[in-house]
Amino acid sequence: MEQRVMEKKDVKSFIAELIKLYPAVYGPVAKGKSVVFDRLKDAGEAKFSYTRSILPPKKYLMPQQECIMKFDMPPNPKAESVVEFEDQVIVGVHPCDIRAIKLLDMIMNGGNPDDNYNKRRGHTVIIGIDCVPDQYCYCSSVMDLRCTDGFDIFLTDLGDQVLVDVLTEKGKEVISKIETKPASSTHLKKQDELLEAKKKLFTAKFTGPAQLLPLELEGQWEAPVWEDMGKKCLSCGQCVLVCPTCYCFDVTDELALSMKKGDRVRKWDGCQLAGFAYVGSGENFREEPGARVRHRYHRKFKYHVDSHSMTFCTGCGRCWVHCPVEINLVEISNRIFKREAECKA
Amino acid sequence: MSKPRIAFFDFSCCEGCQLQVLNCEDELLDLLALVDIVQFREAMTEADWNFDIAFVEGSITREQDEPRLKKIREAAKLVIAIGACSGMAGINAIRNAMPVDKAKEIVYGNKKDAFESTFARPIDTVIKVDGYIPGCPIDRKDFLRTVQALLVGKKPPDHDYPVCQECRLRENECLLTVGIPCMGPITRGGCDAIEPTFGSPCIGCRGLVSEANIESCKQMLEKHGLTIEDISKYMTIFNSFQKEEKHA
Ligand code: SF4
Ligand code: SF4
Ligand code: SF4
Ligand code: SF4
Ligand code: SF4
Repeated sequence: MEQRVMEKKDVKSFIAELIKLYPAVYGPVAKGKSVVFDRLKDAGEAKFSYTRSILPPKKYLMPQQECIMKFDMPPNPKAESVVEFEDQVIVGVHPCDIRAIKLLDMIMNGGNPDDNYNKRRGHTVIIGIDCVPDQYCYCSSVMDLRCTDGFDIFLTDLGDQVLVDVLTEKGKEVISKIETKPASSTHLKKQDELLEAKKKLFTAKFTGPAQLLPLELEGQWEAPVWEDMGKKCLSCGQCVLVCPTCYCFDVTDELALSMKKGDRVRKWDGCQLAGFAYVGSGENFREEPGARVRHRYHRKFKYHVDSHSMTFCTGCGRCWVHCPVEINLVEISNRIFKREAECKA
Repeated sequence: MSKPRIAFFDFSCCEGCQLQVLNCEDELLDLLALVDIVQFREAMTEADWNFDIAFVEGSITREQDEPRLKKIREAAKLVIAIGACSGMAGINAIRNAMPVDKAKEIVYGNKKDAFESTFARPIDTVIKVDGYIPGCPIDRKDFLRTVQALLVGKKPPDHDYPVCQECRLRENECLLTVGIPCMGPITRGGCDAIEPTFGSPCIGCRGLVSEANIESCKQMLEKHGLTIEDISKYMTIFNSFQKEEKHA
């Protein structure tokens, strides 16, 4: 990895240059009191001092809704798959969301590679930036604070200057558009200090190591925490729909009004919605909200750890902020670490 | 093959749902290529009792409504309830909480005896209904999707998922996160979260999802500063009839 520095005052012209060069540049912009990723028409629109966007930047790799096939109905049936993509830059991505994209890359290249995702991913440049946690961030409990891969370049604010970690060929290309100098040991030391200082800012923390949760979960299938959360859960689905590492979807065929042709559409779906595990025969495999909360938790902290050795929660805090009844995985994890199920017995 | 014949009927309502059908301006010609409309008081004068699908709007509020509704049922192969009034008695059911006489007095004043009115009910309390298009008013895309489903012999969409799902996909700022109480988490979707998208809270016009966690939702709204009375008002704007049935 190459490390360089640029002057902070040049950041704006850097973004402006990208907007000129790439068909699409996305970045964080204000929406009400919140922030969303949106297309940048002007470098000044970007709001880099944010904590979390409503939806994660994943939406540019796997949109909320996309047509994956166009078809004609009989008598002359025809079907053609659809993959839409263009060269795009996502700027201002935080370490938690960079990690989430890394996890999605793994999933989308597994047993059944996802063409639509992978084509878009291949045409995407990711520019990360460092951040300051709020009371809902808990990345420090589930991942390394130092972001070492999953991006093309990563920017750390050092005050008047910005440290630029350049990781990939694509990264080298974008950064060549602006004047930078090699970073000195003083710059690198400053980055280390910032990371040390950041560690102390987290108020939401796990009481045990996240990597041990698969073991901790053993014998806790019937722990009271699931039913407690199930009683509160409204099954509104917000937690899974805002999650940067969730990738479930539903597929429907939408006929044009002529009834002669149509689109096959996929749309985000998720396991906390009551109908998610409802099957054709009329059964629901996870009828109880508590069973659904338990399933989601295991997806984040057990199943994927067993199969991919990676925790599938990045601690971004989105599910917590959006849950109308404040269900959060920090509280659940800490109850799991306490092994309430056994204490009770 | 001749085109399926469809007809529209209304009982106690504002006829806003039929207006939504007329609002399908861009799609109306395509729709007429698929079906013949044989009765539609809001748009035509002639009335023909030979039809396949009846779309019924409005609640049942008078005794004389019942034979008319039954006649529609006998004539139609399929009956679809459109709108909150027809499907769940909606706003009309608010007055079920008080004696009929008092409600009549509030509405008609000293002319109250000139009007007949009883308990407000959804049409499925009188006849069998084959499908519902919820909402106050209905969503026109939803109407078109339902017609399409019926024509190909599929079950019409039931939208048994919360308004939050569509709201989240549109990336609206959740009103609950900025301190505005919203019924989205327990209200049936399909409206593309139209209210929250424009900054007003969902008030539940499409009815509750089948697994609505009402108890927890009440506690949540209370935390957002609503009093028990406010919450009860919120929950009964459209959904009082449903509740009575459940608690009966
Ligand atoms: S969770 Fe961590 S990486 Fe994500 S925004 Fe918060 S502090 Fe930054
Ligand atoms: S589970 Fe919650 S905190 Fe973890 S990655 Fe998903 S949204 Fe973020
Ligand atoms: S956001 Fe909260 S209430 Fe909604 S489904 Fe998730 S855990 Fe349940
Ligand atoms: S604004 Fe209302 S409908 Fe939208 S996500 Fe929030 S609670 Fe759900
Ligand atoms: S947001 Fe709620 S009140 Fe508004 S149309 Fe949709 S269901 Fe009805």
